Amino acid sequence: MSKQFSDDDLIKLYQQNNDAMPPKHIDDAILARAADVVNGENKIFDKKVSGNKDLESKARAQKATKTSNRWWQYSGLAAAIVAVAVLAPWQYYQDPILVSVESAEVPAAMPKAKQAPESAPQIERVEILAEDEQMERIEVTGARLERAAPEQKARAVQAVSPVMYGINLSEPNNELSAKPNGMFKEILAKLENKDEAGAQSALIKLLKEKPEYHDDIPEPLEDLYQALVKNGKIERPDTLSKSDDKLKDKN
Amino acid sequence: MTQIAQLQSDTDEALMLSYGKGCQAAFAELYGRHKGPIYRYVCRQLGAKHQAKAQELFQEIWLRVIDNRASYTVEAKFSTWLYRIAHNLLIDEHRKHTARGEHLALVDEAPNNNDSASPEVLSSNQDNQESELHNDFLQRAIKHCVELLVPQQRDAFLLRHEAGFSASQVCEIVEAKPETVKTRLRYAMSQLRDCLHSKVDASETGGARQA
Repeated sequence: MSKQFSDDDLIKLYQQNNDAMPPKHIDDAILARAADVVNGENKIFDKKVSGNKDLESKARAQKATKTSNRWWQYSGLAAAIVAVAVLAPWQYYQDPILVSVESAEVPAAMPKAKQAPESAPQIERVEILAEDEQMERIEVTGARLERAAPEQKARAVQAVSPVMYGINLSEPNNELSAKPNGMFKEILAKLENKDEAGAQSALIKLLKEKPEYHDDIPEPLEDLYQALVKNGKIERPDTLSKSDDKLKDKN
Repeated sequence: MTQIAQLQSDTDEALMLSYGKGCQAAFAELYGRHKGPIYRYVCRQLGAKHQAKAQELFQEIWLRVIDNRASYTVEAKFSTWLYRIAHNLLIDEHRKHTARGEHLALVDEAPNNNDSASPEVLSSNQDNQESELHNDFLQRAIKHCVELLVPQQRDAFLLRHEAGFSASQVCEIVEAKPETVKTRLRYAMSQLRDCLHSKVDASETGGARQA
């Protein structure tokens, strides 16, 4: 009768002396294969690393070259911008001034231009009486400019230019009106010093030389003038005597 | 020394990851741990007559481990992954054998072969070392009976009792349901028991005949 084998008996029986191992040459082959793969991978990795280093160095060199090229480009661009910034304001700066001068000075010049015909006789008179040649030139220059003003409304800047040089166009008119007074100053001074004889002789002399001053006798000398006229020492021009007669009639 | 001790204390998964990073010593340690069981598993699967094929498959298993070192991730135990590779290769090999009709021939000729493990040869030495030889006879008989098992049953039996996996791990390796694996194991044990009985009976009959 054969023995009955349980599951444990079968398993124990199977596991006894169950120590078969692969041959040595298979072990060596597998381990060598594993080592080769790892070493090959390391070599590839080293090659990759060295290759990457080369690429990095090349990239850096290219970057440096590009940077230097760009530096010149940037410097050229900056120089161009500076040149434009320096030169451009001359163009843009003058135009607003021209506009402002026209808008600001043309209305101021227009009334002067309107006054020019009125003041023209005065200027001509002053030209005759001018003692100083320099003064005469200034007056003429100013008169010419004033005459030119209405013709050259758009060129108001040129009309202003004498002002810019410090020339006041109104001054000659004031001087013209003040000149007779200036001529009479000496006479007035003598009168103030109670030198009536000297004042009479000076007035007579002045009026003989400048008969047109009969109309410009200042008030302080009016009595002296009337006395001389009554005494016959001074002869009034005809026009003036007629106007005086009319005044007398009115009174 | 410290590195070797460290490797010996590491788990299989840690060693495989180390090898994936280029540590050759980790693979040597891993190979040393598993080469015996996996070699026996392959040899038992293919049978004693296909020793050369078993060695070839054994190499192929480890080459696949080497090739997949970089893609290895710790999703399961390393041994499970290793035996799944072996299992798949063995299935491919069985399919080739089945296509050529060699597997059936192997199974059919097994009871009729007259190798050293046959009861007749064993029974001739019973006079001098009867008990020792009887045990030796039983060991070789049961290994022969394992070779005679149906492949699925043999696979389950070897994974469970040769490689030492639990039933659930066997299910994971062979990708089968637990009930299927249990059934295969139960049938395998039953087949082995019957086979061994038949061999023992044959040896006893032969011995009596000789006597």
